[in-house]
Amino acid sequence: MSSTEQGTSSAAPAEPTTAPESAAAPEVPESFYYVHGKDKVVHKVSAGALQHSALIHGMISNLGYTEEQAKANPFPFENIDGDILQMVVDWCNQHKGKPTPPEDTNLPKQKEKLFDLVLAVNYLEIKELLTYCCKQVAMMVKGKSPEEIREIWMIPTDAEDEAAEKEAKKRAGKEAAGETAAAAGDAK
Amino acid sequence: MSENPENGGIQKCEENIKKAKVEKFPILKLPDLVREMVIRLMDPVEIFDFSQTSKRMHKTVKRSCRHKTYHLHLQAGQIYQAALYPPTYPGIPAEPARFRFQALNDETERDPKYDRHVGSFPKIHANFQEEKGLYFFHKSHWEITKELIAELQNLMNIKFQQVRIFLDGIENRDHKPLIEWLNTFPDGIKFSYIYGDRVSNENMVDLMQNYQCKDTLRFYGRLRGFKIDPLPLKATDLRIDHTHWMTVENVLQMENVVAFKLGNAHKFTDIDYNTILKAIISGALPKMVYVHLELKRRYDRDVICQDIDLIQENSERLFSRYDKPHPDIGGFHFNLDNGDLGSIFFYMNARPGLPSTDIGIIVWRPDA
Repeated sequence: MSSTEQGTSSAAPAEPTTAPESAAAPEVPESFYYVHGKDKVVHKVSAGALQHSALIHGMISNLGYTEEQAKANPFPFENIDGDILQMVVDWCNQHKGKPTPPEDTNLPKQKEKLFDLVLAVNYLEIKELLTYCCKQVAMMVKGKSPEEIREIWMIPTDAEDEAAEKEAKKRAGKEAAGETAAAAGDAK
Repeated sequence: MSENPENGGIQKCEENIKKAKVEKFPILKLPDLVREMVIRLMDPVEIFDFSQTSKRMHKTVKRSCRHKTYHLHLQAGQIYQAALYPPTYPGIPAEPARFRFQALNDETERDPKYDRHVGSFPKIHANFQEEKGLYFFHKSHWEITKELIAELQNLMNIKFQQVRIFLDGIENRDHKPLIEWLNTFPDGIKFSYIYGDRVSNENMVDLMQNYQCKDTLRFYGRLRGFKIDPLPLKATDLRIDHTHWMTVENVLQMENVVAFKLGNAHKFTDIDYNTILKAIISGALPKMVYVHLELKRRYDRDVICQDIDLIQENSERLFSRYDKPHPDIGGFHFNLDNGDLGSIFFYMNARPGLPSTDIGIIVWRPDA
């Protein structure tokens, strides 16, 4: 009860102050753009929300699309899963025109999804969301021993690294030998 | 006897955690810049632990954190503690990342879980405690402290901000190496706090004559029966809390000091203070700007200022409530031999009726 009362009372005095402003400066209709991921599902996003993404913002800043043109040409992000793109779009919509809070607790807890989200956010260059995601990744190993960190983050041991390095060297040597043999054959 | 249900519960929880499938995150598949960002967002304790996972990750950490600055607050006593604060501290309150070092003995050998390697020590028992940080247990925990700080300096940009030395908790043989090690920090240590009531005369003389601290230095030890001559302290901001061991010569040997406070200085007689004041006037402490003498006893102002020409402060604003200038308010001014102006203040006690016990001396140096 009290919350609705407060809500109405706080909303009431706001009206007269906002009305003259809107009368003075006519509101520019917000433009929308369309994006789709790997699943081809198209998401409608406002230009304001897309400002979070440096990549998309750079693409649309000089485009001057009309509503029809934007609808006809959705931005394809074939390397991003549909559900991940949905997550990113939701985040951009939620934080449209707002100062970003110091922490965001709505990020996915499943590590597989978080990995895809980090890659998508890095690709789309959404700086704030990338910081939250990286913080979430960093928090995974809080209070963990080196062995546990190795297990969680799938880090090879020194021996495994050395073996992989040897293998790579061997492969490179073989490839080089193959190339020289082929070159000698061509010369003949 | 039945099994303790509480312990049983904890054991069961631990077993369940072990059984639970560990969700994995392939951090090495992230783009380099993102991975570096993740590392930079980690706590120093986790950064250190991450660098322990492999040689390759050690290099990665070094590359990612070389510009990340932390301020080191070291505590040396029975337990050594290295606390790393962000450089914005104390302006912005922050919890430090703590590394603690404790002697490994029968008492502390309680289930240290995992081993870490630091410098030349390949296997150190260590365990992480949520609130208190990462504990290292070793027979020579002082050596481990040195090695770990060197390792942290290798990984990050560490600035040595503060050291608190509790000499009574440190073994006598470690006093000298500790001071020698502290002297190796090229940028010096900004704040040094030294405590100790039962330090041997020899160790304390060694400390005071060799410690190269050029900034703030505080001595809180009671040091019974201590004697030293000379006292070549290099600190510019000095406070000695118990000065019963000091002589007038010791005071006049502090040539580098800009500001100092002598606490509990009741052993000095009024004539001693007169001698110190006259020496200041003749230029004995060339850099001194402010002295706070905490006498904690009644004194004779006339004896302290004997043979010194003083001019009493005579400001209308100060004495507006009195018929004539009050001797306890405003202080007195005097000339130094080099022409600079000096002032001496006899502080009022907050409680009326009690004698004023503190004296302040200011030298107004145009070049200070």
